[in-house]
Amino acid sequence: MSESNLIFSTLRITVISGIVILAIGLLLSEQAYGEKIMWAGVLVLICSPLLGVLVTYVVLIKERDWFWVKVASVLIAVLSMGIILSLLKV
Amino acid sequence: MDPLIIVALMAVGIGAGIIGAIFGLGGGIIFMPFLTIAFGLGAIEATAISLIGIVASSVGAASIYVRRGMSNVRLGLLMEITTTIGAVVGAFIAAYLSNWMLLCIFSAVLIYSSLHMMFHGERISEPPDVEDNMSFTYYDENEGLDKRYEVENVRGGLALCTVAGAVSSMTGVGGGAIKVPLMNLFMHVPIKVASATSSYMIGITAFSGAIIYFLNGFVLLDYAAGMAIGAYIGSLIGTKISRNLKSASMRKYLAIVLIVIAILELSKAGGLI
Repeated sequence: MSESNLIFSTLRITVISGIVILAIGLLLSEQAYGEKIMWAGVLVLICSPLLGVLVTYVVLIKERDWFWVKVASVLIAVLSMGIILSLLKV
Repeated sequence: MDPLIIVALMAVGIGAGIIGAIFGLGGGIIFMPFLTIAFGLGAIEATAISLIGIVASSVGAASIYVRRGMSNVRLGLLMEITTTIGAVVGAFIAAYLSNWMLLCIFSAVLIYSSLHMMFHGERISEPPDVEDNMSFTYYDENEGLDKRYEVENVRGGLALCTVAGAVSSMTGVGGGAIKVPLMNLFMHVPIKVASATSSYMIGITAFSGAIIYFLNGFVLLDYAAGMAIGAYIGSLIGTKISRNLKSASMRKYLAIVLIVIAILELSKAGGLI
């Protein structure tokens, strides 16, 4: 599978899964477990960009595109630091 | 919950998703006023839902733009580094700066970008004979051609992304509205690539904000579900529309959208909305 296809499929599959889970949760929102399904849907949806970055990272490593592997490594480090700092702040 | 509210949320989501996907704006600029004014939510709940809507519209659009070879994921990753640093710094210094002043500066930048786009043609640099890390190609669907371009002013662009990240985390808007013109006007990235790359980047920025709100339990799940479903559908429509747009017309429309955003933000700064 080519580079863009792999990234495309990852983004597509996770975002669609998130949306479908949310839709099911919304339809069942009268039930007690509807909330839990929507909670899972939101989690899947918001993690889709992160998954996209991680798959891009793997693709770059496989292509031995070292300049861009370095860039992606720095980004992942910065994102993690940002999340930790924000969690500490709240 | 009232089904009518869900339908209304979906409708707003679709509208914002369409505009967000065409121009790489995410759509927060549309979500926020609706959530706070029309749906009467507090700032925290509205921001949380807006961020989830942005993830849905930007990832929906980015996935398609990546397949079409229009998102420059490498450039996106690079620029996202300084954007994220700016956003984190912005979140910490927000308390010390007055919001109206920031909104005025932000609007001034948008108006300048808009006028520049309206009155000047697009500048795209040819890659050098020996291609370097900043030489790229994309496929222009409207013209049916592969086009090469060289990204210029990378250091300056990265520095400005820090500012863009800081401003958008302080004012809650404007990630894409600053980044798309920045890439197009300053870094010579073709407008279609700039907006498609912005969609990819905005998803990452929105993720790092949304996950914090989510983990802290600030997300109203049914509102978020309605908005996200609408935004995703909107993004699919938006990517279809952008396929048929010529670069020149896209810049003109974007110039208009930027002016409208600037007016909205100025009225917010003046306390009108």
